[in-house]
Amino acid sequence: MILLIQYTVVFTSVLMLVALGGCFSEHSGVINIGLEGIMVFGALGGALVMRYLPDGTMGVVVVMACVLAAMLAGAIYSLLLAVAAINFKADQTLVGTAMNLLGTAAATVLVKAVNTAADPNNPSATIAYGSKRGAFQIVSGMEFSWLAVLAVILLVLSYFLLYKTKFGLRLMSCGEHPQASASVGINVYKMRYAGVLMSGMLGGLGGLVYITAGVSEWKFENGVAGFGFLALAVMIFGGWKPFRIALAALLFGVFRSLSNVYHGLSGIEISIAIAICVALLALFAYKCYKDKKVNIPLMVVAVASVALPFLVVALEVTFPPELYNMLPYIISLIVLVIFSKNSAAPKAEGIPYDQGTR
Amino acid sequence: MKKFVALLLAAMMLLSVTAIASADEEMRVAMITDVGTITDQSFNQTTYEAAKAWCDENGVDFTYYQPATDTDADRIAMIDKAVDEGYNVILMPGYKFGPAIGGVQEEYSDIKFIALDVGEGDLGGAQLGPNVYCAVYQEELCGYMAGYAAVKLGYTHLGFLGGMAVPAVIRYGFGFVQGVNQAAVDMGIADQVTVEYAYGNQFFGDADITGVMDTWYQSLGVQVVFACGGGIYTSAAEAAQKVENGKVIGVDVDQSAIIDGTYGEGMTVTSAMKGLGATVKTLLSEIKAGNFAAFGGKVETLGLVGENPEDNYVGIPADTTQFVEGVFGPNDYLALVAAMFAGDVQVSNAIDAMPAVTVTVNDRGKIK
Amino acid sequence: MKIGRAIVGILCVAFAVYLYATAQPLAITLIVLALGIGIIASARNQKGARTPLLKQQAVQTIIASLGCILLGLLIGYIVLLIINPDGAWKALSTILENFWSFSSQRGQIKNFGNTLAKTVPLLMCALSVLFSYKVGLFNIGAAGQYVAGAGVAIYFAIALKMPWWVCMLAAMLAGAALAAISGVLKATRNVNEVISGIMLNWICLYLVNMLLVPCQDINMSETFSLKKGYPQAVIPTLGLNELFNNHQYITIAVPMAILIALLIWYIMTKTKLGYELRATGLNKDAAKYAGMKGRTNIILTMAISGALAGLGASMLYLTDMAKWPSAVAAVPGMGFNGIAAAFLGGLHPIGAVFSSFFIQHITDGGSFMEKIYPAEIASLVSSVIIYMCAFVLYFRQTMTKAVDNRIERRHAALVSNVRGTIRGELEDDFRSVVHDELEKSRPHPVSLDKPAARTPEEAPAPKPAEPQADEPVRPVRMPSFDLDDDWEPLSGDSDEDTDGEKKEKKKDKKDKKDKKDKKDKKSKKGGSDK
Repeated sequence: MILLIQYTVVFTSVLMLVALGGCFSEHSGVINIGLEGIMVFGALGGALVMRYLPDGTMGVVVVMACVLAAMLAGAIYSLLLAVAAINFKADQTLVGTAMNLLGTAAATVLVKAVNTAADPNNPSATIAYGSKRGAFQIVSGMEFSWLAVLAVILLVLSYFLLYKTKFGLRLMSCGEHPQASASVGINVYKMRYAGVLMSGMLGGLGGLVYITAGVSEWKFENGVAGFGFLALAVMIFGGWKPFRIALAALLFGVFRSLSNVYHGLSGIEISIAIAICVALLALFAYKCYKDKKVNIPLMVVAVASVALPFLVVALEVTFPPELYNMLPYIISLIVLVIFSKNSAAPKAEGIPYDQGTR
Repeated sequence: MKKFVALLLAAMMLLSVTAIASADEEMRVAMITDVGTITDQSFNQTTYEAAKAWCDENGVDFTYYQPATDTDADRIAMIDKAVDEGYNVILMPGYKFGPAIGGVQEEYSDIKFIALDVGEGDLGGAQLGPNVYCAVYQEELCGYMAGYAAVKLGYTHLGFLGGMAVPAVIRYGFGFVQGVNQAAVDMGIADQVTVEYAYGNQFFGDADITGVMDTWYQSLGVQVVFACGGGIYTSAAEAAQKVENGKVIGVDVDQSAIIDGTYGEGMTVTSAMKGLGATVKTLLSEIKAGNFAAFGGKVETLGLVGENPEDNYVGIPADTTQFVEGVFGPNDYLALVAAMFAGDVQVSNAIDAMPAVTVTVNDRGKIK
Repeated sequence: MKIGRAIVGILCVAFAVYLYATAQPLAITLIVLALGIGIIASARNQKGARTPLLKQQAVQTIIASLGCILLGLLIGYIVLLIINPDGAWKALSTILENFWSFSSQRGQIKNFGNTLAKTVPLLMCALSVLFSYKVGLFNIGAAGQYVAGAGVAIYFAIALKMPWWVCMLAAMLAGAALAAISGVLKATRNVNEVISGIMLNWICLYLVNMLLVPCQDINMSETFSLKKGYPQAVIPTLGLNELFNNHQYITIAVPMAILIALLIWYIMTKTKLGYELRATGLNKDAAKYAGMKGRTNIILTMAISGALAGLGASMLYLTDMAKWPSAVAAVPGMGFNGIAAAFLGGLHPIGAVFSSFFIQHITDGGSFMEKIYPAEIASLVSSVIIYMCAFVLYFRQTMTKAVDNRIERRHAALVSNVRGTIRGELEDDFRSVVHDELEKSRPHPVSLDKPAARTPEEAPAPKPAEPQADEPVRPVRMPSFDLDDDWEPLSGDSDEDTDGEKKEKKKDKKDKKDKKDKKDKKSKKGGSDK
């Protein structure tokens, strides 16, 4: 059970951070598909710092330095999207796709160059963190990381920033109706830059969390194995609202970790897990229902489809392992089907802002 | 005077021999990866490192090529390119080169091909020309030895974490299971021994695999995991680090230095080694000496050559295995090797189905 | 048809083909080819006034794409220089030359065949993406449809032992069905097709892995070789492979793909369906009001896109060039590279043919590169090129603006000339009138040789300033008391006129004005009443 919790925390924090990043960007009006690339670069920044910090640096210093480096690297990489989409009015989905392809290739080339410069006999694209990974663990021997605490703090901060500050409201207005915002005197370009850069920082941090979870080295030619796309699903699932995104990330995290640890769980533990998931989904549904935007019968179907796999596991019906891998994606699709009808996407996202149009 | 003439004759003979040897064109070696990179911590990397070391020592040109995609056409294209650039010794590690050999051996009859891990079945019925040498390793033997040793040393709940379900890894795994079974039966504890069996479906470790490993070590009580797939050992070692006395078995080479160095002393019980690097170096030396004709046209199954583990191509490390005198010591290992060499111990190398054994094997399929 | 130019253009193209056949440097061949095509294009008779060359969409797209490619290559070159300056140029030229870097003709042709065979699926994926993009949908699920097509094709070939054309049809249907799911979700439930596409990509990957388990050859850890075990499923070559030195994998798939590209172009530009689809993409609401069925169009478009991607997969796997490994962990990149090829080709089917060949060309060239550089440089270069493609719209806008600016400047110079002339005449006239009036009002007229005083009624006829198209300030028109005065309206040119026609109109006006001025001057000087 404790393993389930550990890995749920790990996957949840990764998905939540990256989805929050995507959320900021989309609220400002720029679609950010390039989250994979941003994660890779953020991970690269953090990993390089970890590798070059001398052994024996204080834990706090290691954590802070790596976090800052990851955020910086992610922000710099997201500038590619910012400049292209905002200044040059490029097609944002295409830029995002290009950034994904570019991220892994560029990171691999960089790491190989760094490694070969340090030791000509080492042409690998691996960065080993050494003992510094221990700095991240709250309790040595378990996967609870300080970065997860940071993720929760950032979640709360994001909520306040978006909904309780002038900056946040202005940011959201730029994504809903940039021309109206411009007419009130808001500099839409600056706001959109801010949105994309924040998505870069959060995405980069998410990448760092992913590669420090469970391993002490990372091979950059593998990128981040599709997590960026999963985060996109979380963001849409969460309706672009921070706390709903957290719930969605939690749900996905539970699924992902369950697919890894289920054979170590007893029937009771699985039933508890089912209960928690159903409760989460019910909470989520209740929030949507309050907005009167949801269809009750379809919601029942959603809850049932979420509970079903757990029941299957609890009753020890064996399914091919690929089914467990597919589960997060199937569930997202079902939820998307139900909740997209009255989508709360920012209305002006994806449309390049042109001062001349009305 | 006679002595002088004799010396002179001897010197001339020597010169003529070397002259003949150097009349051959200069040896240039190229390696072609099967589809992975040279840093996959598996047979591509081993071949690369061995070949590079040898070439650096002997001052021979060396380079490598990586096919653009995982197709025979691209592998052949790389062979074409290597030959076009003037390389005359081509190293090809991996069973995937089987079909390619049939296509290129006649076309490039003066180029020497060394294909490793390529067996009769992979060739698809093609007859080997004199310019091709194939070697396949009996990984099931060293897997057997590792499993046997582990159970003899007292571990009752073991695990096998393969990288991808490719023939070499499957042979390691099935051999391991057979070794575990035999030792358990010999000790009379077959009903108490369990093996968890899974493939990670990738050659590197990440959070998901570590999650599974954590489950094995912490929830299921696995004591030692045979991590058989390139970099996937990182996940196993991470998880082993978290439990007291978590152990790992290495693969391909003696991994005790790497694993113990990074994760903690004494974590590696043993390693199932195969002499890929040694083969490469031997072959290259033989080619340099002009003896390739003795090897050409053969598909050798490299396994046990004799009773001395030093000569064998498969085995477990004699110095770093955690032997325990009286329970399973170096002499017991020698006895095992002798028994296997003599044929008293049979290990099946079939890879279509899990071998039928008495111990409990939980086949968990693919993790990802 | 301007015959002379057409002949010169054809000769250029023929020369380019000759250069290609004799394996001359690639750069020169391309330059000659481009020159030839340009000359042929300019030999067409243009109805009406010609849009300036740089404002034509096709030319702009080609130049923009070439610009993207050059920039991408430049950045790649810089990266190579940073890593290791010696050999950077050789590495870059290896990437560009690809099969030409072989020293023997045989090797060149064989690897050209390789590149061609791999271009086919990429081209089909590119067509799939661009077809749906025209309707405003970003079919990122092309990768999953590709996987579905591959899985079904192989399954039909091995497990059901069907002939090749049945397998291809099945692959098409599988891709179409998968994409239709995305389409239905988008049309009915407004599910973002990018996200549903991504989810379906992964679901499809796992499903295909499960489906192909019985088709796996355990010894090779991939599906069985079709040529050896299931030859009825291999796409026939019909002798095409002999053109490539008996290359094993060149089949009728290659001309089929090009024909399909032409077919797609035809559907999009010349059929009612294509028109409806494009209209729906440009403005969904307007199309709906015009009576086009938006929902059906979306689903139909996605289905066609999916069919194209699935067909592309079958064209690769049924040639036995690639086999499905038993452990595929990630969605194959062919679908995503198709997005790149689609945009690099300017979202035009014919452009997609060239761009997919180019992308495959540099990918293969990258694998031949010297190994002092990491093998990932080639994918770095292609990703940078794709990134630059996003700026194509900006390039085209810049080109349009540059051409417009040049026309503006010329026009302004012309106008200021005219204005200057007229103002000069106006001032002269005004001065003379004032002088006359002053003279008239003097108590003692000074007798100088002056023309006779004019009555106030004979104020000079107003000279309306010629109409300025972009003139923000309207000139004040002096009142004319003579209703018979012929004057020209101050209305500006209509916006539909092309620049050429605008210039011509202005020239006409200027001529007319000159004539009128001369007439007025004559009448003034003559003092005659009008």
